Amino acid sequence: MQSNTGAMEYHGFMQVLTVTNLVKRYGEAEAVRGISFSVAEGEIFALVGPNGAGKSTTLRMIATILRPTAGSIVIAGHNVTTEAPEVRELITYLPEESGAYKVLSGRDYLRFMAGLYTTDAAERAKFVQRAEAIADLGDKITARIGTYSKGMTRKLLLARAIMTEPKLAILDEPTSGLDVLNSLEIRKIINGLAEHGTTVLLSSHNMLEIEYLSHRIGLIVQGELKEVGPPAELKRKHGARNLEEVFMKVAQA
Amino acid sequence: MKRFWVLFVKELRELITPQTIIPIVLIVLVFLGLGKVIAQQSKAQNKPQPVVVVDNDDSSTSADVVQELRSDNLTVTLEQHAALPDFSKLANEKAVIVIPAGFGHDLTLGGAATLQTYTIQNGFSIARLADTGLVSSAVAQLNAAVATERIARLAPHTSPAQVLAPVHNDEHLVAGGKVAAVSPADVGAYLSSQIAFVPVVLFIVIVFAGQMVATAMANEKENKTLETLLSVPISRASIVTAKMLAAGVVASATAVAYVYGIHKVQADFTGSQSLSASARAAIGQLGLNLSPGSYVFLGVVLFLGILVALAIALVLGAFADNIKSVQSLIMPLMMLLLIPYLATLVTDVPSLPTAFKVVLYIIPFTYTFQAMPNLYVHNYGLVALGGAYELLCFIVFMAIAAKLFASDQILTLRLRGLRFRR
Repeated sequence: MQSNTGAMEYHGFMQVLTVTNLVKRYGEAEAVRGISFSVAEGEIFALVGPNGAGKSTTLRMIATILRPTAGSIVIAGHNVTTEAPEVRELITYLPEESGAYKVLSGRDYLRFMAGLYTTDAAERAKFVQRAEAIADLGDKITARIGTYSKGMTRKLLLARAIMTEPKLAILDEPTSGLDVLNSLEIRKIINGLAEHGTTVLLSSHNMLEIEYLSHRIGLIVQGELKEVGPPAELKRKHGARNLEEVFMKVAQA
Repeated sequence: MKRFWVLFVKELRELITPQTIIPIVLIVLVFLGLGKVIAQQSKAQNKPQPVVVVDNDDSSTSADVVQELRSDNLTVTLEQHAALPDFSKLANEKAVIVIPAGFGHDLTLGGAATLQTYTIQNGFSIARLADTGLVSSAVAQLNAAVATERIARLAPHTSPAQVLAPVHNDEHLVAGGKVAAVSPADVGAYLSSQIAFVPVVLFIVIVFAGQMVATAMANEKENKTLETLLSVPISRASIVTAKMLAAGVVASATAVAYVYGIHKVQADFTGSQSLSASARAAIGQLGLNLSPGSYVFLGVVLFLGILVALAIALVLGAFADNIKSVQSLIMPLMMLLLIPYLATLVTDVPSLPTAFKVVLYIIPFTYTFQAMPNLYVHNYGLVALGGAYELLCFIVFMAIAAKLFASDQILTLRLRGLRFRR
């Protein structure tokens, strides 16, 4: 069932995220040009597009970091612009290029971040325990983050982003910098997260990964959302063998 | 509050690392060592200084002269009827004094006689240049001794002291309308050391605090942690405050360490010249001792100065891309500190031309540096006004910082040409 905003009801569940006519301008340049979509509870929705298409800007606006120039974003009934503190309690965000505090150990970093999401000691410990299991860094969890490889840091950050089982997890290129095995593992974790009711909004360049992972995708080209739908449906619609072909056809059109 | 505490502890942990602690400890150790070296040097200067006396006169008068020089804290190596020594072979001697033939004869007749003196300057440090007055002060002592002897001989019923210094200076110092019988030079030397000490400490603390908070901001950007931090459920005001507070705490602790070090250097340096009991009493009598209330006042104005510096540094830090750029970003703050710092040290700010005063009084830190001199003259109104102005500046810069943190600009601002990035 296609709505007038290009979104589709997912399994008939409530919409966790609704983006309406979202615009972001930097001076003269328009990075995001009136895009609309919505994501239902437990759904994995991916924004796909080339570099500079406006994916990260859109995710940043949803994550309360950038202010939209126009349009609205509502997360579980809260407007991102006017109710940012309430929204931040519901979301977690993993930026594409992100790091952690190098002087802290992996465990201390997780404890620090968990302490910002809860004031309850038992819950904090539970978050850290869950994150350590996800990150799976073994003894290195007590070593300084400054000594971690890029892949280890990314796993730690991803674990941090999902340890609180947020209402909406916003993951910008979650597997960036990870090898094939680690990427597969992360995909499994994201799937499991969605099965537990967390809504996942992610972005990626990796069409193959997106095809296996996402329930629905949105194709962004030059700040405009050109197509929204499940991968299989989009492939059928454009007579394409894979998402890359779909993307090429949409971009050239 | 608990979440704020979590953030504050993280900020502290980032600031307190071996890389930041070791230099501070080293600097304090250097200060302590420096104090000992200075103390040893000034002790060495007070020891009898070696000189060579070439006595070509060989009279009882010249023997008296040698005796007088010996009693004047000089170690004399005596050479009789000799040519001038080879100066390049004199390693430790500070001077060569030649008593020419006929010297005693001229003096005995009641006339004037001439000594040839050669002061040897082998080093040009401040400490070594202090030796330049050695010979002239010895000759002055010699003159006084000869004159005393001559007066006693020619006018036995006259006191030589009254002839040599007939006018006695009964010194008084007036400050704030109060009078005390004390040497103004003694009090002046003491107070200027006090007044010069505080700005040095202030300068260190403020520069340190400013640099720390700007670096903390740059760190968040360079390590790509800022974006994550901005998305967590904690207010932007808490993020700003935690950074400022942590920098304030570490800078204050650093200041305590440095003040201790500087104080030790000063104590070792001035140890022999400490204030006499009478001068101390006179300072109290003149009201030139700061009361506990004045110290509290000073503390408040100092604290406000640090807060202004932190707020400015936070705004400047928002422009930083990385830690390297902090150095150039912090320059405007350094200039704002350096101008009133130097003005306080080398000029009398209240008597400067109006244009200079206006410029100085626009800079909030002027009030911090000027607080101590103003408290000495009980100008509490100006100190309070300065405190109020600093508070206003702090509020303005905090508002700017809060606005930056609440907007996109905290992520998009950059130093180079103030460009905005996507």
